[in-house]
Amino acid sequence: MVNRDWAPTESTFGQFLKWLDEGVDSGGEKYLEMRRRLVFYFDRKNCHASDELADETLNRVAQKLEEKGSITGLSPAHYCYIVAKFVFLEHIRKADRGQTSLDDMTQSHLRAEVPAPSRAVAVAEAKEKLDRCLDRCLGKLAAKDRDLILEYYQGEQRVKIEGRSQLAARLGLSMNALSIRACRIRNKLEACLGECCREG
Amino acid sequence: MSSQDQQTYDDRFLTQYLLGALPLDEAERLDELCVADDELATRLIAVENDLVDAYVRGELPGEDFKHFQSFYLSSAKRREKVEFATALLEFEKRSVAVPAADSQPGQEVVVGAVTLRVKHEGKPAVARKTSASRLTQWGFAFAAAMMLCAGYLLVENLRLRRQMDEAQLQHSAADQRERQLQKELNSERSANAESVKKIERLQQSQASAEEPKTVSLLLRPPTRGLAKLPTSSIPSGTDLAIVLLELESNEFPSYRASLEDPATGQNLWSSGSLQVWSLGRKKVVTVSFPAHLLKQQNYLIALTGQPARGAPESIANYPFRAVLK
Repeated sequence: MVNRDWAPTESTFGQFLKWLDEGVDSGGEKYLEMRRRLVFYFDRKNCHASDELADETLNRVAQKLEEKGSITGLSPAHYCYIVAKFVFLEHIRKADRGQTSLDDMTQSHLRAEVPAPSRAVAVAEAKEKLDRCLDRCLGKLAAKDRDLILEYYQGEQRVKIEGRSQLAARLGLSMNALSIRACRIRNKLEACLGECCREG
Repeated sequence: MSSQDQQTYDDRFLTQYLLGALPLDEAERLDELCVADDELATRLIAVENDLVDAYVRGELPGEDFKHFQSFYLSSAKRREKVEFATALLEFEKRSVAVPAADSQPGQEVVVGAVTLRVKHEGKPAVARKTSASRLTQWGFAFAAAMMLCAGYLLVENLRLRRQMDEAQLQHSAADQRERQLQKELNSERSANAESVKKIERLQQSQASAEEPKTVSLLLRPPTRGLAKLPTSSIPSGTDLAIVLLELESNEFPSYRASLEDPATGQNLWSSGSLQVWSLGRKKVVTVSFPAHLLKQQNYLIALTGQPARGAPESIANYPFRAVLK
C-alpha cells in the first residue's frame, strides 16, 4: 500500500541509491539518470507534471525497497519502469475524474490569461535572456568541452556528419564515444541554461 | 541491447518514436526500453538532439515537420529543448559572422560573453576571455558602436515588427498544439481505458491498496528429461505475475508469449511483442500478466520467435505450477 506521507530518511535514500547503483558506486549519477529517463517517459506521454510523476515513481520504489529490504528478479531500471507505468495509469485515471495537478492548472491558465501584446514583449525578453544565458553557460564550460560541443553540433547534414568524423579522429574517439560525450556536455549546458533563465 | 535490437531500432525508427509517429504497441515497447535499457536511453538522447537541431535549421522533411509541430512541440519541456537548439544555432551564426575576412588563425574574437579563437580552417573555436584580448577589442568595439548607433533605430523598428509577427505565429501555433494535445490525450486515454479497468478490478478487492503487488518467477529453458515442475506461490491480493523466460539462444528480433491451460489447451492470455533482456549472462524475455488469471493448477507459457519476415516460429513451452496462498 502506498503511504502518501512517506518520505525517505537519509539511510533509506542511501539504500535506494545503492540499489540503483547495482554494486558500482556512481555518486548519485544513476539516480539522476533514472530520474531523467522517467521525466522523459512521462513527458513523451504528454503529462505536464512529468517531474512530479518521476519523483512520485522514485519515491514509491524507495518505499517498496524499504518495506521489502530488497527487490530481486528484475533490474532496478526495469522495476522503475513497471512502477512508472502504474503511476502513469493512475495519473490518467485522475485526469479522467477531473483532478488535474496544480502544475497542469498553472500551465493552461497562464496560457489563457496572458494578453497578446504582453506575450510579444515576453517572447522578445525571453529570447534576449536565452542568448545571454547561453553565453554565460558556455563561458562556464571547460574550454575543451566548449570547443567540442560547438564543433559537434555545427553545420548542416553532410557537413555535420563529416565534421563529426573528423572531430572523432582528432580526439582519438569512436563516433559512439564522441556522441555520448557531446550529449553529456549538451545536457549540462541545457541544465545550466534552464537554471539561468529561471534565476532571471 | 543486442545487435539485433540495434538493427531494429535504427535512428530513423527512434526519430519516428520521438515524433509520436509509431503505432501504439511499438511506441510502448520503446517506452519500456527508454527507461530500462541503458544503451537505448543514451542513443535516444543523441537522436533527439539531432532531430531538434534539424528542426531549427529547417532540415526536416514534410511529414516529420508536421509531426514535430503537432506532437513534439506539444510539450513545454520539449519546447525548451527547441529554444536551446535555436540559441545554439544563433550562437553558431554569430560566431561564423564575427571573424572578419582578414582574421588570422589564432586571433581571438568575441561572441557574446565568450571569446572564439579563429582556427586554421577558418572556423572559430571557443576559448576563455583574457584581459589582453579585451584591451585590443575595446578599439574595435568603439568603432563598431558608432556604426551600430546609426543603424540602431531602423534595425530596432524592424526587429520589433518581426517579433510581433513571430509572437502572433507562435500564438496560433500554440492554439493548434493545444488542440492536437487534447486529441493525443483522448486517444491515449481510450488506449489505456482497458488497462485502467483491469487495475480498478484489482483494486475492488483491496480498496486502499494503490501499489501493484507483484510476484516474479524465473523459468529456465525446458529440458527433455524429467525435471521438477517450477512452482510459483501467488499470495492473495497479488496484482501482477512477472515471469522471466530464460532463452537458450537469442535468434529473433522479437518474441511473443501466451499463457495456456495444458489440460484444456485454452489460451488464457497473449502478450504483445517482447524484447530480449540480459540478466547477467542469461538472455531472458519478460512477460507480465494479471495474477487473477491464475488458479491452483499447472500452466504452460508458449514462446514463439518473430522473424523480421515470415511466419512466427515456436521456440519452447515453459511449464509451471501456480500455488495460491
